[in-house]
Amino acid sequence: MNTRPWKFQIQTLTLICLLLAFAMSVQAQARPSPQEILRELDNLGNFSGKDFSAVFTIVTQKPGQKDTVTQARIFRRDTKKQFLILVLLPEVNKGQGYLREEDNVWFYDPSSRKFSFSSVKENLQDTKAKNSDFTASSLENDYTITSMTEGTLGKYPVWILDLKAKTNEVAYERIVLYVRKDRIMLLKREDYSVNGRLMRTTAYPKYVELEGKLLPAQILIVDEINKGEKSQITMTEQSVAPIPDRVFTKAFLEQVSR
Amino acid sequence: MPVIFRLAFRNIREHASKSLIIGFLLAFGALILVVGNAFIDASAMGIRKTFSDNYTGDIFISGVSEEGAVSLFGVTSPGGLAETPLIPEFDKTIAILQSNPHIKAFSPLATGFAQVTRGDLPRPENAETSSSSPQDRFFFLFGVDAATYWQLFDSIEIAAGRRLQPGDRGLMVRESQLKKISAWLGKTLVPGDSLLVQGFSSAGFRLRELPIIGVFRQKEEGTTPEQLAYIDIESLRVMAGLTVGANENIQLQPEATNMLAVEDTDALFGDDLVMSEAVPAQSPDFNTITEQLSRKPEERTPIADEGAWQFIVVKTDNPARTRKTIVELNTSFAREGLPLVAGDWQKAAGPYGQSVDVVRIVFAAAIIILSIVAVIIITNTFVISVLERTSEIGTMRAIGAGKGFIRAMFAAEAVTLATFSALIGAVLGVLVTMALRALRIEATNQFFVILFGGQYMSPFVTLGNFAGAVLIMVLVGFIAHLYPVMLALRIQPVRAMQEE
Repeated sequence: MNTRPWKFQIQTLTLICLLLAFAMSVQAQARPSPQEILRELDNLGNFSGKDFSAVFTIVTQKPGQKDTVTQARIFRRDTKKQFLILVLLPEVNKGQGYLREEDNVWFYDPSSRKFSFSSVKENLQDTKAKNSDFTASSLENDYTITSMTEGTLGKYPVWILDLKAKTNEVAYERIVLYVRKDRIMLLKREDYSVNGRLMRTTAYPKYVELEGKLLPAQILIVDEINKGEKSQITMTEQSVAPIPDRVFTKAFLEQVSR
Repeated sequence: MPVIFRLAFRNIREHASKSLIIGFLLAFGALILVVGNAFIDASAMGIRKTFSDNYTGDIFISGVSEEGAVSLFGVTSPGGLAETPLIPEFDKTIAILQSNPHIKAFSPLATGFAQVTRGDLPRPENAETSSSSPQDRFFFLFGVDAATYWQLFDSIEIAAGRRLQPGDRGLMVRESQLKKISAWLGKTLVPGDSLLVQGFSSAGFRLRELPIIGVFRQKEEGTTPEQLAYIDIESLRVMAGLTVGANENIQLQPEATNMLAVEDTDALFGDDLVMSEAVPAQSPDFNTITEQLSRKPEERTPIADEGAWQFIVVKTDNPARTRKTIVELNTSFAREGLPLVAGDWQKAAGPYGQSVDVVRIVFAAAIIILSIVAVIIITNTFVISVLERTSEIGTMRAIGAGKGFIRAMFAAEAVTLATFSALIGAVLGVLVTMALRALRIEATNQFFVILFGGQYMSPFVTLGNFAGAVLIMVLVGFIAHLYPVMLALRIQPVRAMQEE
């Protein structure tokens, strides 16, 4: 029996194994750990030590209905878990506000000059956005990573991270993140319910850079349950300049919309 | 008497035991049908009466929504809070109602949702938190026209305070719910006290402090949602966003809406991502903000949209004629080009009225299943009975009886037996119904209130029900005999005669 073909085959196999091992090691170096990605995403969204303010315009589209518009000015101080939202539009709700201190959220109606408690999970007005969308979140603390794969989103190569909720404090049981590879930025997020149903998709196609931090400037939220229902969030007048302490008070809400 | 029926009677007597079994089954079937339908009829009538007496009226008029069916509870849409359409051209609509001679009275209405909140008061030490659920503080608000509403509906008793009167601003809360709210707030609420109520609608939130004008009890509990509260129409309009200027047109920059037309979110990532260095602006200018938010004093309070009504509930002079009146009204609305629909109490009750239908459908399904089982058992008994008579059939056919004669003979036997049995069963059914009615059994829960059509079990038998039950059981008897006769006729007369 001629043994040469066997020898050749073994040599080839060895070479392939070596090449594979090399390729894997190269890839391992280029592949950041999913925890690192999450940490970086958390870091991008958080303004620890700094105040943040901006004007958000939320346009919600529902089939067969006129688009609804909510415009609000937001003040955030993540170090103290504070935020203040002032409604600018629609005109009839102008001056209404939400103030958060720790886990308490007050709603203020200037037309009756009364306050009421409302919760963080409550929908902001009738839009697809939630109050919690405007507060600092920590993906790393709230979720565990179940997988990380590669893919492309439009023309961008992305990491696809599949996350499972650690606590029931979060609004969604499972989320899938599409993170741009060449520069860590979240491009798309899918939220799933406990039974695995896609509930909403959020796209972050426009960013601005603010003191070295990337901030989404336009966000599209698609309600996957009620087809055709979407909200676009546009952010302007972003600032990380210090905000006076008096802003995060009920008195400010009362004064500002006299 | 034709020979065929003489033979039928003879056969019934000859095969007494089998005839008794079949007869018993048919009679039992008729009895069940009569009693069952007596309950369904009582339920339908009772529920209609209770709903129309309590809050739906005989006829319910609403605008049209593309999102789904409109009821007193708003629009039943998959998306949740869809806007309830208003009655367009209210005066014209009223004129149509006034011109219909069968309309006795009517009252306009608007509804909304709200929740009692604690405001910014600190949480009281003595307040109950564990036993209170958010539903206990939820209100389903009926914004009524106090001048006409109470003339239409005399369904409540005042436990404290008084009814809403024209010009009042405030709430009427159910006694049982007020107890729960009191427990949650940690203080006993009485008429004159105020509640901080947060209204929510597709237009957003609205917060108002409203006095409790009255505390009521439903005369007949179980027909309205426990959270139903009456409110003056002006306050309701503010709560439900039916305010002047609520539908303003807002002009926005194109970049605030440019992504909404996108069908596939992935298509947004075709271009290079726009990244621009945001100017690290100075601290927001609070003078500008205050200016942005400032309003003229007259603009501060939302002005209720006068004449904004969502529904009209109507009482007719003759509820039995309601269907015809509905058709007349809908014709008038169409002629005048008004996007309005008139419907019956079930349209008004919406999801709440459908639960009644579910109970009735379940009951009807049970009767259908019972009928199928009866047909199978009767067919089986018939098969045995007919096969026992194979030699007799053979002999008859040998002496010249055609297949048609044999079929007719068995059909006559089946129909005769079924008619007598069904009649006996139906009469027994009437007696059972009368006995049940005489017992006046009280409904202990919501399910039985629906099944009984009211607080007490009061089934009744109509002529249609009686005749229907007899006819159905005769049909069941007839269908059940077809298969065994077909079997018997397949056997050759010579072989049939040889069988024992």
